[in-house]
Amino acid sequence: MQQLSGAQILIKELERLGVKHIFGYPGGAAINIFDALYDSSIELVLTRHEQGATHMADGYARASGRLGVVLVTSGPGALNTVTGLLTAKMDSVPILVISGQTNSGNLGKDAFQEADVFGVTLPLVKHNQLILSVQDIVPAVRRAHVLAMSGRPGPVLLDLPKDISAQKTEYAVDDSQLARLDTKSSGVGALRLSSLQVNACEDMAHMIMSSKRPLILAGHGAIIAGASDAVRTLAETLGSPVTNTLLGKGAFPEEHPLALGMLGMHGTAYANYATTRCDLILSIGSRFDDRINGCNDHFCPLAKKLHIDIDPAEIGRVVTPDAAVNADAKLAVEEILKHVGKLSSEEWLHELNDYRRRHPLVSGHAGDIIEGVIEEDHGEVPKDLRAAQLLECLHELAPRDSVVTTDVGQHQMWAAQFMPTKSPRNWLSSGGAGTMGFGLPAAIGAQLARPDATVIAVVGDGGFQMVQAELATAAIQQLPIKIVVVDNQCLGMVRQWQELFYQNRLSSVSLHGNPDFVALAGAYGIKGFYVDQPALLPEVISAALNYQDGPCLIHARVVNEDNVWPMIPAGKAAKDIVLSHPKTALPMPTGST
Amino acid sequence: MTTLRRLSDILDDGATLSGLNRMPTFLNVRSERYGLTMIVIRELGIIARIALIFSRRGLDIAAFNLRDGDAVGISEVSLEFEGNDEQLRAVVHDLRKLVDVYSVATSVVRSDSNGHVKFTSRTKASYSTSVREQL
Ligand SMILES: Cc1ncc(C[n+]2csc(CCOP(=O)(O)OP(=O)(O)O)c2C)c(N)n1
Repeated sequence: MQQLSGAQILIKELERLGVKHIFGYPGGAAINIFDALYDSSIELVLTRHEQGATHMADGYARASGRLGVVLVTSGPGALNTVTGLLTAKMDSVPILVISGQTNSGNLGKDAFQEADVFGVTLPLVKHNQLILSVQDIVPAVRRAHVLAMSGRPGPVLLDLPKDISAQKTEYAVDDSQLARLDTKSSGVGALRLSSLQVNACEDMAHMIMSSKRPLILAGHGAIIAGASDAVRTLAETLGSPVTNTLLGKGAFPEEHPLALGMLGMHGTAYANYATTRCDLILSIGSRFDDRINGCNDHFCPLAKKLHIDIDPAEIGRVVTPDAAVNADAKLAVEEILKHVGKLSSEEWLHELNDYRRRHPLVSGHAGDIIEGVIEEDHGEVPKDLRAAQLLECLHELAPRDSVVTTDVGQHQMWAAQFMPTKSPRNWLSSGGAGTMGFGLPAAIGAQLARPDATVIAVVGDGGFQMVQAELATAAIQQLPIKIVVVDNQCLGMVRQWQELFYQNRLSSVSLHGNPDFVALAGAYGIKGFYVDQPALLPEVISAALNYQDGPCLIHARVVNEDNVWPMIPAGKAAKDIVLSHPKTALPMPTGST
Repeated sequence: MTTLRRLSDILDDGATLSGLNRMPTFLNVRSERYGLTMIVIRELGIIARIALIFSRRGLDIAAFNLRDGDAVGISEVSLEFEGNDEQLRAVVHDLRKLVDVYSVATSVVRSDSNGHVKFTSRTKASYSTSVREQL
């Protein structure tokens, strides 16, 4: 039988799992694995930082539903992945990080580039394993794959000492075992509901049918489970409005007549209003986190709360449900569909549409900027470019099924508001972890996973500079991603808080000293565009969208002191929503962030 | 009901150690002492995994025991901690999510007026048939 090294076995197993790309960065402890890659069909995408590699794998997984794989060396290399692990853990994204480790005999001796990677990453992964025998590699990789992809997906880390990756052993492919694992990992877990779950769905359906003012809340779980079609059928069958979380963007088409758009801290006024009035809320794969539920005592005060979640730990964790189904979202919604029909919700929909007419999302109107430039709304097109306007125009001109990635901050919220998402896996944003710097590497990963898609990275001038080294990765791979740097010369979201809650004492939020982003792109051979006037937006954006010769970057110089509205101050309820800049100071929020 | 006293009260000489006095207040408002029994796979790091579920919530473990279970590679863990029902619920759910934890049983630990400890069992830990098959 074939004698292969541990490293070769690892790569063979990854090939058998269908892995096409690995994002990584080499080093001594991982050098055997990189050597094995030399003979492999798998392409290693060499990044410029290991954090970038993890976000690329994450973007790859979010955009495609496939496993994202990362390969790094020990010590500093492995520790540079921890932010990416947290990001993937918080948002339930299946990535596999493989880290080289010092020789097993050196463990605990503070050997060169030794770090307790297993210990450091314990709370950041769905599972991790320090592999101490070459025989363990095959089961470890197969198990890692199943764990990452099944149930509630999440990151898995395998730590592989160098002597184990060097050791030779016999390798025989056990096809029967692989086939069994594959059927399990192709979905998110169970293939059909248990009788208990079926009954719970039927109970839920009865509750839904006695509702007069229902509201469906679609979360990331609906997208992960592939439940979007079922959610849409349910909404249309019932005639129920649908709101979504930040990560649920695309679970239900946000431009659908029944769509209320995003809920929560910077969600639409009408989605938040709906939660104050609904008599039933059905959460499909959302965890009711503090971005949509800042004050649990006042969350959907009139509503029966129904919760569908694959993770039993989420049910009752924040909101105590009146009914719950612990199951795959697609299977559960399809089961509910068997027992429901049209509700008489016309009055309810009328009420919401009326509210929406009175409190729409508005972009690009003057006014509202208080501590910065004070402008009155004369209904004219303002001279200076505002970020919301930029993103609205971008949305109008880009193909409807574009993939949009973001960093974290004001631009992320404006993008969420003004770039409605039509279909699943087209909105990639760091929700739970709120990781600045996610946007560019995630776009690189997404474009590799979906070469035919238009991929747009909407990034902040702060977040972008945390990972701008990955411009090299994008350029070398010749990926036609569009990078839109929303340059407000400051850490906008923090500045907004300081303006609103800290008497405009602006502490450490100026990004004075930003580089010339067009010149920076040019240094990597990337085409750059510049825009700072509303009138020139369509022309510049069209040129960038049509540019196909590798990546391009739009440097959009926007108004510095702009604010995201509406806003529910942290710790407050939907009824406390602030729709535009208040004339009097807001009290200090009781919530954390 | 067991009430945890301030650490400074427990010190014989009544010395006030500034660090100890600034223990977060939630340490003093515990309502119950819970016992957990778990059947786990004897995998590297299992104790650390269990411990982290408590420490991230600011809960400390008052008693801990790990011993061989009645099958090869299986261990039984029992531990006690002070907390409220919501915290109990949360840790049990998170423990069940650990890949190496098979089952979790809970009990309430109460001492009567004479200081005798009583356990009130709520749920039982047992091997399910599917677990036996996997073993
Ligand atoms: C890695 C990281 N560090 C700090 C923060 C805290 N933070 C949240 S938003 C924000 C400002 C982001 O600024 P920028 O990228 O310019 O985007 P803007 O808000 O201006 O659109 C900061 C510092 C974070 N989310 N992530």
